[in-house]
Amino acid sequence: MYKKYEDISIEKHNKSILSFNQEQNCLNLSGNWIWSTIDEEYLISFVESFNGNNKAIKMDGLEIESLDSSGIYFIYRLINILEKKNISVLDIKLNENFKNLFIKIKDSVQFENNVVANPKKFNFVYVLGFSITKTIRNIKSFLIFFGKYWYNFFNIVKSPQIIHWDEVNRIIFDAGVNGFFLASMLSFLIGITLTYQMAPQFTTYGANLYVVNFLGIALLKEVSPLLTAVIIAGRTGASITAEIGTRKIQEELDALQIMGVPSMQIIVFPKILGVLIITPLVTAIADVVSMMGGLIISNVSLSIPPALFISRVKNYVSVNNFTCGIVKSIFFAFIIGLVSCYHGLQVKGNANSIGIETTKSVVNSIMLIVFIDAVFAIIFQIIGV
Amino acid sequence: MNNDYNKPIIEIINLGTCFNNLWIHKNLNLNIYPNRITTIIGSSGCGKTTLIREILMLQPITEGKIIINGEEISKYKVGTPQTKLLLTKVGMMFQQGALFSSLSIIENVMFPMLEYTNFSKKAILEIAQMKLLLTGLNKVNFYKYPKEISPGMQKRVSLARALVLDPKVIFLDEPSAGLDPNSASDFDDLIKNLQTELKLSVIMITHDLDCIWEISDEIVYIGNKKVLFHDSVLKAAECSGIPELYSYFNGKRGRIIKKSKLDSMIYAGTN
Repeated sequence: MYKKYEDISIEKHNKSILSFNQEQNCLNLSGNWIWSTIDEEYLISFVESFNGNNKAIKMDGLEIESLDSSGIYFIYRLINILEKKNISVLDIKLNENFKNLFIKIKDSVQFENNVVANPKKFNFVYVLGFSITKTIRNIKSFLIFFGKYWYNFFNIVKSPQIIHWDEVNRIIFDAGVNGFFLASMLSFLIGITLTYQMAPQFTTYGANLYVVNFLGIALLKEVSPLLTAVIIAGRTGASITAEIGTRKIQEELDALQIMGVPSMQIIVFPKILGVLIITPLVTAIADVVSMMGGLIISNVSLSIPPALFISRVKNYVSVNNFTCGIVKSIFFAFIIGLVSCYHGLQVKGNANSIGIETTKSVVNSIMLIVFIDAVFAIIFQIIGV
Repeated sequence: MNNDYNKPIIEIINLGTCFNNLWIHKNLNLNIYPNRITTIIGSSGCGKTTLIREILMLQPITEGKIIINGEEISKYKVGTPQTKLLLTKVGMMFQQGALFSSLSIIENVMFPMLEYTNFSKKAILEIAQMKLLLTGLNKVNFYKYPKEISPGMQKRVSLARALVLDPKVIFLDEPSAGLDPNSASDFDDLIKNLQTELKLSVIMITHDLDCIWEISDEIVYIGNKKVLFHDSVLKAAECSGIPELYSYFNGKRGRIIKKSKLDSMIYAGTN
């Protein structure tokens, strides 16, 4: 029966009706037996509460007005229920129009044990084992990719003229020209927010001027490189993965393979190189812009004049902070390029896979960036910069 | 739906379609009759698929009327309950199958029933299984996902899904495209058998001449923005009034030529 739209049904039909005739020992079927008129609960409860004294009954379906394959399924199901109650159905009378289909469908209608159950039920141990082996496999294939990268890297260093500079330029344009505005705007806002949040703390201790030292370390060393890397991973990294994935689905990589050109050279290298070139530059811009944000708010809430702020930066903020940030950003760029290319090459078969790999690419890049950042914090602490 | 053999099930009156000042159909009139396989043919880009999409309300029409079983569909807005109910009475098998990739095969077939009926899940599962077995799919494949089965099987599943609500009219867009000759001929048989058993009206778009000769009852030739020819297959093959239609059946790739060539080869071989 219709689940919704009952009241606005275009064709109003009578429901399917069952009745039992004691004298003729016959179960009469009438009405319309099509999916929109069958009331399953009524039919099943009628037959289940049916208490014929006889062990064998007849069925008369001559009064059925219309019958479709769902209707035929339900007739077979009623017979099945009756048989379970040890009542056998001797004969089914049906209109000639319906008889052929009724017989044809018989083999396809199956109940209970013959219905295929879903073999892929949720199994905790299976899922756990599967995800562990999958992770191990992923790490292994990433290491293989990493090895291939270095193998090809030395080939390219030997003959750098094979690098496709068009591709490099495209990445630089995408991440640099199109992306630097977003990166610098966000850095500017972070500079403002950070200064604004810290201002009351510094005022409490009368250490207003030290805000410059704080911003020098926090922004130059930590926030700007990290933020820029995250933005580039989200914008450029994702687009690299999606692009390589699409090219893989369109069999472009196979075409390269049969021409004897390694896909590393054409596809992977220019992208990693482009990201490597542009990320430190965008980071440098973000550094400057975020410090400007700090300068403005220092002037407003801590009443430090811009000239004083700049001279404090000159005298008290070591250039090491800036260098550390740039060095980190180079490593971040390498991770973004490597991870997004790797996931692009992992795309298989269908369009779904591109979405999955792009998500993985962004998530894994950001995760690795934060991880590497922590490692660098320790290294810088040890070497004392 | 009516079962009167000579009363049209779909009437298209003075249909016009215009995209960016380019008329695809103009004054197109067509009656499609029940209980037979009607094949729409025509050169690529003449608007065969557009016509079917318009009948199924996937695309708006510019002028004219489309009447399905006495209901003028062009007056309804898409997405209203009336159109939804009307659409349960037609089924469509898309060219690429259009199976939902996130659902397993049996879930794909169960989907329309879950959406429209209040049957128990057990009943729906058993009905879906019945339909899949009717379209000749092996039980082993029921819980696989569409990407895990072959294109031929995907078409069968798509057909099963189109048939699950027992529509009386079914549209097939290039059913044999991309199938090898064996699978294609199996699929032809399947369509013919289902058509006779379930008393369906099948409207099919195809470029496959073998398929046309094998199962088609009527040919509709679309050219010059309207229906130029609507009659039986034999008459279409002999129709010399329309040069394009004549060369469709009698050209270099036409089956008649091929068959006579084969005959002459056999003739030469025996002598």
